[in-house]
Amino acid sequence: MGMNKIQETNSGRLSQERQLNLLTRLRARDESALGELYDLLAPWVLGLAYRILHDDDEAAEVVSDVFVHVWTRIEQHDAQRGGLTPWVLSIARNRALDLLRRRRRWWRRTERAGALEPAVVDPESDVEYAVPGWPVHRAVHAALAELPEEQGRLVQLAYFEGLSHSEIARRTGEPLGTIKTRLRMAQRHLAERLAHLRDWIE
Amino acid sequence: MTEWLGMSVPPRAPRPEARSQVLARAFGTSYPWRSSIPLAIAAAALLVVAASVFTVRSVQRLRGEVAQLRDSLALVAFRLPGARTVAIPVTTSGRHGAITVLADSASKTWVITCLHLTPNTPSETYQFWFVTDTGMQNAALMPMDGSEPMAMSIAVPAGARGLAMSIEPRGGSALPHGTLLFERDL
Repeated sequence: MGMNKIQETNSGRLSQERQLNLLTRLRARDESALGELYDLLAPWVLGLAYRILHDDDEAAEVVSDVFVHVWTRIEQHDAQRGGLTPWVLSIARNRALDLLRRRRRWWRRTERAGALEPAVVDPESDVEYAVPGWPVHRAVHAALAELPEEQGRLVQLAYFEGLSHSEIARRTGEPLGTIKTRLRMAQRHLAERLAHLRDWIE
Repeated sequence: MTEWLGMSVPPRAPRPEARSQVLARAFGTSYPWRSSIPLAIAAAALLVVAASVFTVRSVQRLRGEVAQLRDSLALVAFRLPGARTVAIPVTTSGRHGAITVLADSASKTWVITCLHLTPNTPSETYQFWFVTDTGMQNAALMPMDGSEPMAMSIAVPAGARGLAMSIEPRGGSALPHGTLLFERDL
């Protein structure tokens, strides 16, 4: 099944209009909207949670927590600070990192899983990935891949493992100032490369 | 733009059954009372039925007690030597009521019961008077703010031969000035 065919057969599109529509309906307590949002974002939330936790059950727990949070706290979403998708992803990341810290098993699991995830997955390889959002995935992954290796490594430690600057410095054995500088440069690069996502419509 | 970094990770397909479980948990969290609605309805219905049964039984029991007391009172009145009951019809503001007096000459006591009298206005009261050969003497005030029956017992002074009733200002009067509702020798 080709990429285009996958997208065509998708009933859901992760467009900005769609997200605004879902946001309005969620605020109006439309239960079907949560189901649609789940169909659109659950695979991405699960992927992110798994990337952080490296545990299927814990990742599934995060997915559940995220959509319960979205449904019960939708009024906390501030449209001025970003769209629905980044908000959901940030909830997922925070939940996953909370689990990671609370259960204190992350050293063992990250070591088992290896330092970094493999490169972007070919969407044609498995029909399981027939979910909306691939253009965003490719753009974000490409922007990350363009970072110099030392910056990319730091972004991974900060974002996916939730380490503070000091913790990263201890982990890598590099000076704190160097860590901060590299992360600032990485953030600037990502902001430039992903600026279009701010007004992105698939 | 770090908020988009989460999408740099490949998606994973959730378990098929997870969708319904997640949504059920979300909606259950939002409306925790939802699942207990049938139970609450059943409990409320049971409560209503129980309350109805209790009320009906209580009313029946109280009616029986009232009837018994009424019979007992009638027997007591009937058996008291020198006691007699006098019923005096009274019309107040077009309403027909009655004053019942159980006059016991042995104890020199009158037990007065008022039934179906018009409630007083806030500035008025019913006032009883002893009828004597020298005129009226204050017996008692009986302000009525509702329609409930009222009863009182008064000691009869020497020289009192009858009872009268009038409507007076709320604090009572030294002599009857208002409408005299009845005057009756007992």
